[in-house]
Amino acid sequence: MKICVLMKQVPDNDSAIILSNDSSSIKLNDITWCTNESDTYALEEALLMKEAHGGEVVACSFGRESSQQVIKDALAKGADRGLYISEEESDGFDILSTAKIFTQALKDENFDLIFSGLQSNDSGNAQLGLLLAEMLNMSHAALVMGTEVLNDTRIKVKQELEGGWFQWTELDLPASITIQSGLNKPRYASLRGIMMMKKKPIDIFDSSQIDSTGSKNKIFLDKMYIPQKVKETTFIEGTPDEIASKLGDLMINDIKVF
Amino acid sequence: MKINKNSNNSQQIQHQAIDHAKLEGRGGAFLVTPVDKGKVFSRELFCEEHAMFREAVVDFSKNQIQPIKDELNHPNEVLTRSLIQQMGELGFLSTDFPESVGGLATDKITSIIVSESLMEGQNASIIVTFADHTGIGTLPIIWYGNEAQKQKYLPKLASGEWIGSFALTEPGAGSDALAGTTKATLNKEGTHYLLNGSKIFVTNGGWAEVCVTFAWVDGNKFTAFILDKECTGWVLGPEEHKLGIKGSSTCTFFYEDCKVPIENVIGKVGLGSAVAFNVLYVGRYKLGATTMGGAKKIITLAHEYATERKQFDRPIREFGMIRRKLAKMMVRAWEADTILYMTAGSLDSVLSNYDKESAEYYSIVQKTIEDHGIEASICKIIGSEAASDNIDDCLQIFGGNGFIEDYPIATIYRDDRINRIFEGTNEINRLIIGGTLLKKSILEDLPVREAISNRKNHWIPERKFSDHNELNTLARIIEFSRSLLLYTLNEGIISEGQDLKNNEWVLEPLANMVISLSIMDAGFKRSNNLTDDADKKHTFMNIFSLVVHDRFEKMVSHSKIILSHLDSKDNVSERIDYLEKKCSEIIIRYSPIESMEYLVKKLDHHKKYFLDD
Amino acid sequence: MNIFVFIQKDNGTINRNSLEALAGAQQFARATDAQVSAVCFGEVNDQLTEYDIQQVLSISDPGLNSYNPQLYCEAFNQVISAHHPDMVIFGHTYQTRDWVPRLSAKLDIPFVSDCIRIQNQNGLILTRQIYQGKINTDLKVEGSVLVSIQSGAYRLDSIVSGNTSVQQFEVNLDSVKCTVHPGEKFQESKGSVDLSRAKIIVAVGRGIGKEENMPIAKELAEVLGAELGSSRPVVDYGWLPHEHQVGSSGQTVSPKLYLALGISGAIQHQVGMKGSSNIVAINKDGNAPIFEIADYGIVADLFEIVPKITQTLKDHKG
Repeated sequence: MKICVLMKQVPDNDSAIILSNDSSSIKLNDITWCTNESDTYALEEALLMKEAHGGEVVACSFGRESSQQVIKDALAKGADRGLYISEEESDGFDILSTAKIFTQALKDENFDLIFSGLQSNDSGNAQLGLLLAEMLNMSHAALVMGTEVLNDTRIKVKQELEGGWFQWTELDLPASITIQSGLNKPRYASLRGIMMMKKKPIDIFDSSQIDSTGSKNKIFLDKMYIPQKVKETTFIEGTPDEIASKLGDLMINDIKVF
Repeated sequence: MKINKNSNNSQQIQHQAIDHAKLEGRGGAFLVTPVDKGKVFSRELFCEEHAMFREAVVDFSKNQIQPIKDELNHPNEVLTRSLIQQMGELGFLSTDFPESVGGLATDKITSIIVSESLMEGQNASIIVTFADHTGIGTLPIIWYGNEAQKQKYLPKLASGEWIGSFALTEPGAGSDALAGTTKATLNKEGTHYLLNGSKIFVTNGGWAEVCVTFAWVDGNKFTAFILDKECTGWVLGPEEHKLGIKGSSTCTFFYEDCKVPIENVIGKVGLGSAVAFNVLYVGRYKLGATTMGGAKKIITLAHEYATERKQFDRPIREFGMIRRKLAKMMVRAWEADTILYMTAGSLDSVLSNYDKESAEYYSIVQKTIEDHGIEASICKIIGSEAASDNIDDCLQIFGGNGFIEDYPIATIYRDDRINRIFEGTNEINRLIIGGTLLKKSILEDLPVREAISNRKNHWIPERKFSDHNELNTLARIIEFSRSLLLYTLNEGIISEGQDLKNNEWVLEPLANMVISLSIMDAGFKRSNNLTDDADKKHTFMNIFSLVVHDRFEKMVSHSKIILSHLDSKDNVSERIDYLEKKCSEIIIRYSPIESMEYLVKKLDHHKKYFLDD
Repeated sequence: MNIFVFIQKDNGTINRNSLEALAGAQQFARATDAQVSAVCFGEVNDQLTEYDIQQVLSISDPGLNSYNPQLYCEAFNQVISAHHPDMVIFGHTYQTRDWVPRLSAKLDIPFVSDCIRIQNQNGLILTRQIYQGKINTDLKVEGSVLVSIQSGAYRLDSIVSGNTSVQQFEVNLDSVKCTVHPGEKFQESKGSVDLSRAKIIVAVGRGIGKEENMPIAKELAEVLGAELGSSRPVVDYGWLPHEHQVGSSGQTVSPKLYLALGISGAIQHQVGMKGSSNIVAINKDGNAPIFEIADYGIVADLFEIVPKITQTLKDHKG
């Protein structure tokens, strides 16, 4: 299996997200970057599949210079090769044009499988892997919670549905699937893996080389803002004993829990 | 040492050139290398791999250790083994192992990174198990073991399948390690040594499959042996009930005709003291790394509590006395960080010139580390004292709650206490610093004599040390301090001669002066490694100014203790008078409150020790 | 302006999110003079004809009787090619997340997913949450657009009734070569817990720290006669079975009291519980998003507070 894993660098959960002065972007200086959470599960699933069935895992990322770090982390964990699509202004592309850029970069690779995280923790479109399925003429499945290789031409995936339901779906190869968090246990990078990382190639694909006429944005930013609080929250304060007694009173007399 | 007292009055002192390039990578070089000569390593020079190693270990520690940190405070062999094996899989155990046995043979900087970053797991017991295993438990085999021993023991120690230990201490032999009475007698067949005696306080003792231990052969040849589970007569005593690190194993071993094959002798018969002491040197600087990690980590806890805890309607972190504590905690952690990476970098600058797989590599490692005896001891002292001072301050910030077991600081306080005791007490380490300093000076291993002579009349060389005004001012204080140390040392040698090395009253403040100078010196040289980031430079200047002024005052007071002692012995007051006169020539102006406030404001923002990034 | 709303059906019943999307479409249409049509695969439920919309397009084809993303895409492709709607609105469901992106690529029409608002301000403005709800972004669109609406963004009871006619629309799906083969749906375990009917839910999140701490929450639930709920990580770690999960990949609940213990409140969780009458959140981090929607907030260590509350309630019950 030749598997491509799409990985995105996003702010880690503890980073404060602060708007720029003109409300058109976020301030980047205080942000700690990390690999998008569900992408790490996608990588793990790809590595497990390679370990069981052989093949190659290619980690691919699109974005500013620092995005190469997510590729390097993937190489340290066992990916064989990196594919970095360089674009300092990657946030400025809508998801459809982003997919077109990926298509240009990936089309000659003829991957059997493209794995991506379910959605990114920054823009949260949850679309890239599925857009690519259509553009690269692959089958697809979203919200995958388990994978199984049936034979050289077909895999089976467990898809998550609402309300605790699941569905097995079989996919002809090539296929692009988006991976839900929690289906495996992503490995840690080993020190040896990090030492090997340097010897693995990262191919660089400059997005400015792409014919941009087909990938013009159709979605435009009007503004960004901090969401207004919908509810007035009453904060209960005091020592633990005081809080317990106030909350108890509230639950018993106002909410009438009994 | 050829300088005598009379030369004080000599008008013509030849300036003696010191070849600073030649001193690079030498232990103790900082004593005679001015701030504008020579480089030090610091974390600002981490390469990409170093940064990724750190991320990997932090990631592991936060997710695999931290969630079970409370369970790890009780002895739990299954849990501990599982963690040690996971560390083995990830390579954390084998940074110092040769590649031929599946090790990683990384630089020493990486070893420090791994040790430091494991503290993100916030559990001391597992760190002790790890450190003993990777340090004194396995290094004797790596350095002194023959190929057969390496192949037999190291792969399983690297993977964590086996746990290693080190048994040296005996009831009557603690700091005086060679006072032990365990005997090894060759059996009639000449195939085995029979060990008889006992060892106490063996870390990992209850769990270890392998142990490096020591015994006297023929009553006069101190010898190192490898014990394994096939050695009959290796009897395990009960677990000790300890003040802290209760989740680690500490046992007594009894050797009752313990049968050790002759091929388990490490190096050769009689090499035991070299094995023991050289290995302890490394254990030492690695302990500096874990405690340095702890000194940083505790700041998060202190700051978090000081933010949550309100008194007089304000979070207590807003009060000046709390803020001063927080600032001092930052400073101590920064000092330890500076010293640890300076030392590791100096070792690597030598070792990187040699082929790691060559036969003589490990003897070069030993020599290099032995040469860095002063630095290794400074690392141990600075790391463990930064940790315990910080933890003590943290407990004070917790107030009454700090004394209650329900809060985390009580356990940390107890866990930490051992750090100033094991791997050589801090007293022994100060003795080593003083003793090594004397040895290196008298044997002219370092050009201390030249430096003393050069600084005789000019305590501060007349030149510009930095284009940065403020750094230049600090450089003058540091060079003054260097001269102060050289003067004090010289006076000590002249007055006490060989007796000095036995006079602990004097050696302790002398060692403290060496420690202070090393920090100031490494700190200044660290400034060369900074990037152009103006904010980082500003932070550096604030912290470094606090370091220099505080260390300078300490050095003057320690020097006074020594010089007044020498004066009163000779019934004069000329040395103290001279010092007073010299001190009056240097102008000290700084505003510690403003610098501390600057640091704590940043700490308020970052909520943790923030100088690593 | 022509707006189509896709009505998703699950086992014959109309998906709630689709109707919420319809409510949103009506609301937008009123402000802009737009026309709203519903698009429905298979038999049209009577319910649909009772809403104030221009028409219901009914597409009956055996290939659409059960969900297949490629057939759904092609069918909708033919609808759009014939009618050229300016905007197609979907409920943001697990099913539409699977096939609408593919449709977007096929048509080269952008898909703005998981919107919380569609409004007119000198043109169409779509609002989405980004950075996990920390920031909102308003977007403008050039040309036609596909939109999906977050669950709960519009209220079902705001749907305006009226009369409408059903138009049949023929599609030909012969050209589709299916490479996706959906199988049967199943549940991992027979869910004995029906959180949607619970009056009181004590929900635990990552902040509970470890499995051994679960009794703290269980005891409180017991004294309250409450069901136990959880956020996703707690289920991922295996501390509670999946049927306890509240949120986009679990159940949607609306109890009288929702007690969130150590739940930070990512959007995915909020979607499942923001309809609760009273939300009480206990969390160490005062900046946790859960406090955005909590009626009562306690910024504290749950291990200190919860046992004391349990005791207070026990004492009250005698």
